[in-house]
Amino acid sequence: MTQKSRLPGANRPEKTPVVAVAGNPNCGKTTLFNLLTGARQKVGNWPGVTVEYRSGVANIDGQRMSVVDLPGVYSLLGGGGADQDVARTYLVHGDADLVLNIVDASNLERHLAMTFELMQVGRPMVMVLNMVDEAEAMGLLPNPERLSEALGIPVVPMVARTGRGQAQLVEAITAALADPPVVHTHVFEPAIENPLRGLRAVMPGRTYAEKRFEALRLVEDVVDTETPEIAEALKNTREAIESLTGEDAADAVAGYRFGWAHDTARKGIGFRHKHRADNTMTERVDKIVLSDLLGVPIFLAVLYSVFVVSFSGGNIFLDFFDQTSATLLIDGVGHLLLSLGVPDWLTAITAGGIGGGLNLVFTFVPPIGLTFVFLALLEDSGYMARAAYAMDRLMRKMGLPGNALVPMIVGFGCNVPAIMGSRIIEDPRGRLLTVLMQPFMSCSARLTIYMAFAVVFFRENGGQVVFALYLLGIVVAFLTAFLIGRTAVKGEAMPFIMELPPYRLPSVRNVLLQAWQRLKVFLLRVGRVIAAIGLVLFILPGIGWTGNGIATTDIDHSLLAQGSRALAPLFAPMGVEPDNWPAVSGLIAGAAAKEIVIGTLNGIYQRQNSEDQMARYRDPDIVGQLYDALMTIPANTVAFLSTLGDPLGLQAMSSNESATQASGASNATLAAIAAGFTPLSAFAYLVFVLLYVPCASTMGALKREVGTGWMLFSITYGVGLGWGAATVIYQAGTFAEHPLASAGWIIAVLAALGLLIVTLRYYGNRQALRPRQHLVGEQP
Amino acid sequence: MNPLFAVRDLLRERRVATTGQLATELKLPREVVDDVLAHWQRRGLIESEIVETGGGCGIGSRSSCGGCNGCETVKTITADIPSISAYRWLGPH
Repeated sequence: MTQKSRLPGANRPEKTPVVAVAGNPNCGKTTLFNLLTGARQKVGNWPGVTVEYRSGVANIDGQRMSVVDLPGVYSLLGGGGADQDVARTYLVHGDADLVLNIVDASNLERHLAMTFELMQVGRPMVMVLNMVDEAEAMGLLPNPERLSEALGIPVVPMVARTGRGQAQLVEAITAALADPPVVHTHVFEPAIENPLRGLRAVMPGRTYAEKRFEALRLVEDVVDTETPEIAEALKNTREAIESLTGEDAADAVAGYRFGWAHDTARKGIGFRHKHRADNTMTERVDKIVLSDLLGVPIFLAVLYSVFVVSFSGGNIFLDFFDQTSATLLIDGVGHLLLSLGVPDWLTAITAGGIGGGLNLVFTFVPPIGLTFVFLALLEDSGYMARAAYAMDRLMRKMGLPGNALVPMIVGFGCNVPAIMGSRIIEDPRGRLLTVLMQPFMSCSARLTIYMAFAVVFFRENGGQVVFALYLLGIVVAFLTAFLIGRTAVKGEAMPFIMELPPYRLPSVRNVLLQAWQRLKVFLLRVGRVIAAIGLVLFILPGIGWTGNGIATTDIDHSLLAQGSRALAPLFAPMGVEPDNWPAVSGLIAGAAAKEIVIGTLNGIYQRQNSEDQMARYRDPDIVGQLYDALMTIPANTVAFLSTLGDPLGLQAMSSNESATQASGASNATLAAIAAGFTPLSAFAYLVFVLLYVPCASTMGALKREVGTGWMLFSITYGVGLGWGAATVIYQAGTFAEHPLASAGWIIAVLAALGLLIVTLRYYGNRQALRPRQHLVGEQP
Repeated sequence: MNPLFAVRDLLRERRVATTGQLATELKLPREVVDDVLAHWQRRGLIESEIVETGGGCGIGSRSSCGGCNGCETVKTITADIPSISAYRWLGPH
């Protein structure tokens, strides 16, 4: 090659050996070069290019030698800019007497790919295993002896930055120049090596290495040839490799190199612990939480723990918050207003309506606040991302988009951003399914209703009940996506794109800040709505249809009561008694916002009790009530500690005392709820609240994201499913009392579900025959 | 295990994946996965693309949802990565 005569090192004085420092970029070549040459350096340009050329003179044990600092290069076959061309040309065609192949011990596998190529050049070589300190800090244990044995060349562990290992390197260089080590040119497996010989034989080149590299560059498709003889040999070589390896020739050659580097790196680098891949905390934890078998059960167990601990722990302070806020906001405000001469009706509205609403909101601050703290803890630790990842596999098996879980987790706070968050899914089908799943996620507004009913009916195992409702929401969301994805919008799930963040020790500040942000939103938004609706419903039920037309009347004969009673039979199959018309009012009002359900109940029940309340306003025992409130903390703590031995709440579940606990509820609204439901009908009611029509904001988000058609479908589907599920639960629970009627209701619900599936399939088949359209915005 | 073919097989199965996902699942150094992906990209069997992960931006903005902090949740879960490079399998399945 004519280029050779112009390369650095050419025309050098006799007996001045040349040592080339070669390796990937950023592995410490220049540091090593400086260490060897000190100030005796010269800088110029490589011939014909504007790439900087640095060489120097080293004096090792009285022997002068020229040291060349080559530009970093990833592969001798090709790639990179002019600087890498220069290094490549020098290493293949130059006349260095010794190559110092410097590699990064903390990233050995990658660097060994070029070592594999350098060895094939056959030039005497010493490996410098640099940055062993960084490797050790990562828990790696470099094993230069074993690496040297695997490679057949000397390997010197070093920290070039500090000079650690310099003496050993000097010794190795001296020995290598005096008695050049024979580099066993690595040969590929016979399935590659044998066919390669034929091509190498026809390649131009001065040396074995030159011919070999040109042949490899051709086989790996790095360069092309126009010489017919070479083209023919190349074709034969490729065909032979492909038939012997079963892989495309270019892939077989590259694959062998990657495999060799992988295996050799495992020989050269040990690990502080027994198993290679398991020695970091993240990997060890991930191996369990991301496993096919345990990933999903662990997620469910974690979620279960969050709700049980939040509810049970929150219970310690629940009565304190309830009684304190009732004393101050209802009795205290009522007494103050009466003392100021405010009329009774205005006092009743302010203290009963607004104060009662706020009392309800404050009552649930402990369990809801704790839930937010635990959810923030899971997010900040990096676990929530794992939960999404673990669920991905399960969801993809069901044909669902895996990253639907990220918006779903957001949906625990509010369904609206969850629906908007579905935009992270690129695939229109996956996005549509994800959007339709979100209304079934239990948002914080529903949490208030769950908590209220749990306190009344399931005080000792309320956490389990709340978890069951959350879980039911998730299951229904999955089944909805599964059903629609297999019928109306058939297709394949696109994969999940998300990088897993490392596990972090959660920052107390972040967790508390995140939880406080959510609690603040809950208090402001939910509290505002409940208080406002309590006020409205305190006033509105004062008019009704009488024999003389619309006139003022008591609440039980108001328009609200008359309308709700008319609709009550619709809810009778799910256990709502005709007399419990406030429960129906709550559901109707709840279509605007789920917070309103409990606000409505509060407004009505407070109104029904308003006369009793007036007596309390006139003569409240503020100090005594506050003292009683404070005393609930130690009592509830003892109760909490006694439940620790029964995390599943089995004992409480088998007890019949839950309903009677309601009689002790200090809050008038909670006491009224207790009177209107049984535990079973309360649970059925909660299931309906979970599944039925989403709030107005969610409907708006649905319309914006997937169009009016799918929004209407979501509403109808949710109401139908909620009613069906609640009816089946109630009828199954009371089957023994009226088996014929219960069986009829259950069969009717299942038949309706069957009809829905058939309709969706019909729609899906009809869509499949139509020209492809955008899914989003279509009318189902 | 052969990293070149392991990455190819996993990407063919998943159709789209990021370097981090492949490295995590196959327990390979990211840099090695990068080199392997460069090979398959050069061979025309995969293509890279930038995927917007959301990163919390524009999701649940206060003007549209009343500020429920959902965007913060997305940011935390997705490690606040606004976009990442993903690789899409183009070859036969």
